Amino acid sequence: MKILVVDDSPSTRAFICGTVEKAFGAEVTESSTGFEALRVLPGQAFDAIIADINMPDINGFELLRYLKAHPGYRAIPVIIISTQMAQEDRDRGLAAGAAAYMTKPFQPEELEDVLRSLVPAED
Amino acid sequence: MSRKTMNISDLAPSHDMALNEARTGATVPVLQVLAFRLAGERYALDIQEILEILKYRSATPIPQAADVIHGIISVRGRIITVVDGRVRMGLEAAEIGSASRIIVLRHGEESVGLLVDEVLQVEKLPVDSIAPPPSTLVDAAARGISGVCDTRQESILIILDREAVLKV
Amino acid sequence: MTGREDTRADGCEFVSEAEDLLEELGRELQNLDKERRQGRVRPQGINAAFRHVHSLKGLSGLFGHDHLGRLAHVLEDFLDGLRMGRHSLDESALDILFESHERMESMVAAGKDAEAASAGLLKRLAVGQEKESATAGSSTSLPEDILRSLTRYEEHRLEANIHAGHKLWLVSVTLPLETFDTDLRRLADQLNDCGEVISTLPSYAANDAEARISFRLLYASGSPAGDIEVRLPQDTSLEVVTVHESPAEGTSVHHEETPAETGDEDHVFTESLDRASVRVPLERLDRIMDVVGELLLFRHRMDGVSRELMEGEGTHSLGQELHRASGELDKKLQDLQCSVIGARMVPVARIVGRLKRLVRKLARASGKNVTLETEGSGTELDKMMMDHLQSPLIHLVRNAIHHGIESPREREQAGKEPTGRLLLKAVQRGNEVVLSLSDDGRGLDLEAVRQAAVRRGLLEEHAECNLDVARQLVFQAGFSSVGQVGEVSGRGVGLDVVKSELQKLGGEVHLFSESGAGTTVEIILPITLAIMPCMVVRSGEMDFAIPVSGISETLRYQQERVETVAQSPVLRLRGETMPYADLRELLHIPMGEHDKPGFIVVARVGGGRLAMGVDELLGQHEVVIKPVGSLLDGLPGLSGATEMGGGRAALVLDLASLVATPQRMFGSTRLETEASP
Repeated sequence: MKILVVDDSPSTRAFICGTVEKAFGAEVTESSTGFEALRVLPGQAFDAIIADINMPDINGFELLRYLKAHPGYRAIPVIIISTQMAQEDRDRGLAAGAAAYMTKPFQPEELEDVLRSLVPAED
Repeated sequence: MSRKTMNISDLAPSHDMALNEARTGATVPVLQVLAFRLAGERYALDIQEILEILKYRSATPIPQAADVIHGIISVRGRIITVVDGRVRMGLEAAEIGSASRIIVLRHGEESVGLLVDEVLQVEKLPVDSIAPPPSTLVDAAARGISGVCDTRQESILIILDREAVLKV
Repeated sequence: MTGREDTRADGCEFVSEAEDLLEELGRELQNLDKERRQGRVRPQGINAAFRHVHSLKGLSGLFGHDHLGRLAHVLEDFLDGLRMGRHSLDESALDILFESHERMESMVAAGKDAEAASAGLLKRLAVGQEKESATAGSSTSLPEDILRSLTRYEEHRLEANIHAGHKLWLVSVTLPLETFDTDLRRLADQLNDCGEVISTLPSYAANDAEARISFRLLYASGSPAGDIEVRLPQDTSLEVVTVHESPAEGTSVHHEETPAETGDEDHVFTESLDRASVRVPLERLDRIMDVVGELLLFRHRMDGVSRELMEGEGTHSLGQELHRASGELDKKLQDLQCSVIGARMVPVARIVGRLKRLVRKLARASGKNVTLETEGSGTELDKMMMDHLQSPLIHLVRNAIHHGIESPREREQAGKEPTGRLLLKAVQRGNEVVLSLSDDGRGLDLEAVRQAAVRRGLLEEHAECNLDVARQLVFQAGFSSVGQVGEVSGRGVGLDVVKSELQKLGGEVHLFSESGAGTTVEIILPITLAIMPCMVVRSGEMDFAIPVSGISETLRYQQERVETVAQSPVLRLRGETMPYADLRELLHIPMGEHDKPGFIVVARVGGGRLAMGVDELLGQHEVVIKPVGSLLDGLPGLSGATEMGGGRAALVLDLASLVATPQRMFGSTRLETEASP
């Protein structure tokens, strides 16, 4: 499983990476900004993308819009993560094509469950 | 730059504290100390305070420092001040011999060496066998002596408090 | 998310990330404070502060730092209120922000045991949390996909810009994939100078070449200044469409095909702190430094062996080869040493943020107007040095504000600007960094200094006190002491403490003052403490290292050069007379086998010179200076020790402290140690 994690907080990235590496033995690529994500996307086949909403440069929705408009990336499930405060972001995220929406803070198990439901097992 | 370092556990009896308690059936806490010799007398320090024991190597004297400062040595790139154990105990300055050792002690964030004539062995002292320093011991507090213990071997073992000893 | 052992998180990571965030937040608050005073607060700044606090909140949650998390949470709401326009950024809001920032800094320093933020602070942060105004339906002709990708904040900014009568543009730009991020950030920076980039939407178009990417920027500006100049690199396309007209007259965006010029100093600095850098615990660099030092010692030993081989019969060519190899090794090691030293360097700007916050706080508390300006804040110093420099600098800033700078009324009466000016200047000069802190206040109060000195028995009852005398007095140990700080009414309070702190770092302090015009304190520091070229000398069978930076020359000892003046030996050198002493006598060490020294080392100490006799000169070495333990603290003449090979240590002499007790060393001869401007 190949996962792209886009979040400007290194510790959140570390948490997510630790979780998916341990649960799925996933190969994780980290990006600290949306720009970085746009740069690593070409030529890589990700099974899922996990992105924060509030980031510098471009926000999670904008990244999501781009991914859903691009024929090469359209099929990749995107999990949008945000904080409790921004409940109404959920609708906006799902409307833009997010596969799932998670609210911080969450437990590793929750992320595992969501990923398991989105990415088919390899064998 | 090879140096001889002795491991404290080499000197210790092979059984640990728990075993010792099981065997004696007692639950009296035991203090493990390293015994060493200064001008014929036997002294001891809590082994928990000891980082390592070094063979004597020649130290650089420090001009204008107090007599109790033997000098400085370099250990794996760190500069360590060496305190002359004999002078600290009010005895005449150390004579360096083949048995001379530097006991490296924890001292806050740093390490400090204590120059002794000879390192004896690790002893386990039931804490109830340790008595406060008798009044016949001159300047016990100033010398950093926290207690004495009669181990029924040659002389009485004088137990030192690391912090007080290094207050020089 | 909870701090679980199976994540890669640990405390160390927490602290360094939290410190980074707080540093950026501090800088942002500083900017906001400045912009508020200029009456032009950028919403981007408030949003950036919000984002830092938001990240800090997430970080605290992740590591289970509950108190910090709680404060960050409340502060985040407060900042959200500011960025969403629910309340405005006034002086009191900034006070709360600065106070919260300070509190969070101490919480991070204290770790999880930190005390909770005071209920008072939390309560003040909780104000202004009334209902958010509903975002009105937009009357603009914006593309649906852009509108629907806005965060709540961006929506608010869009409304606010329309409300303010600003014009909106859609800027479409296609950039090479290779450089789009820097290009786009540069473009956004330029646009943000006279307006606001509200949203940046990457867009996919079927005809996009693989190596290019397009973006649409939603841009608002009310700039009446006319044309907005935009510089873009070659090979980019830019298209601008007006999507919302304001009643105001038209503004156009120009497109120039020239590469952007480098920004000013502060921009350069911001970039140097970006995410591409790695934070390494100082101990690790110390360890690498130690290893390099040890390798250099091996190199010296190799040199010795090669010399023996060269002298030996039949091994000459072998020796020569080893000598060459050793020379090559030396070059590489020096490269390595330079890189390690470089890795330890941090810009002076690192402490500027904290000083600016301090200035603001002290000025507010004392009812004065003070600004702190900086020059050369990109100048670098060793990290350890920088850490130790903080408290002396804080001391100096306190002095300047409390005692140097006058109240606005006093200043106006004296014909000065009501706002006092502090200037922190840093400049590199060879192996030294000169830092100076100047104020434009009232200058040193000679009478106050004289009275304080008389009270402390440093000066005779009716002795004169001119500027030169005062400058020496304020640095003398015991001139000020705790508990009397208020009494002296400053004019140099605590400078003796500052001086001794800086001497520990191998630095010097000088003070210049002009009555009514201000005071300047100048600090001279070696760039790095750790490695220093030293002259190694032998005296009385002991080896000592003397930093080369303190040596002005060395010469052969000749008895006739040394004379006795007023019962004290002096050296005459090209017409100059300076105190002379044998190093053995200075240090009270046994004379050893030589009764006369072989060489004289002339050292610069403060502004004066001192000649010392030594037995032998052993040559110049790059030595790794290490601290001697606390048991040897306060011994005069000693600044550290260094390994000389074979586990032997040599002492590094600190000449300034050796002669700080001249009476003892030189009897009645007075030694000039004070520098002149």
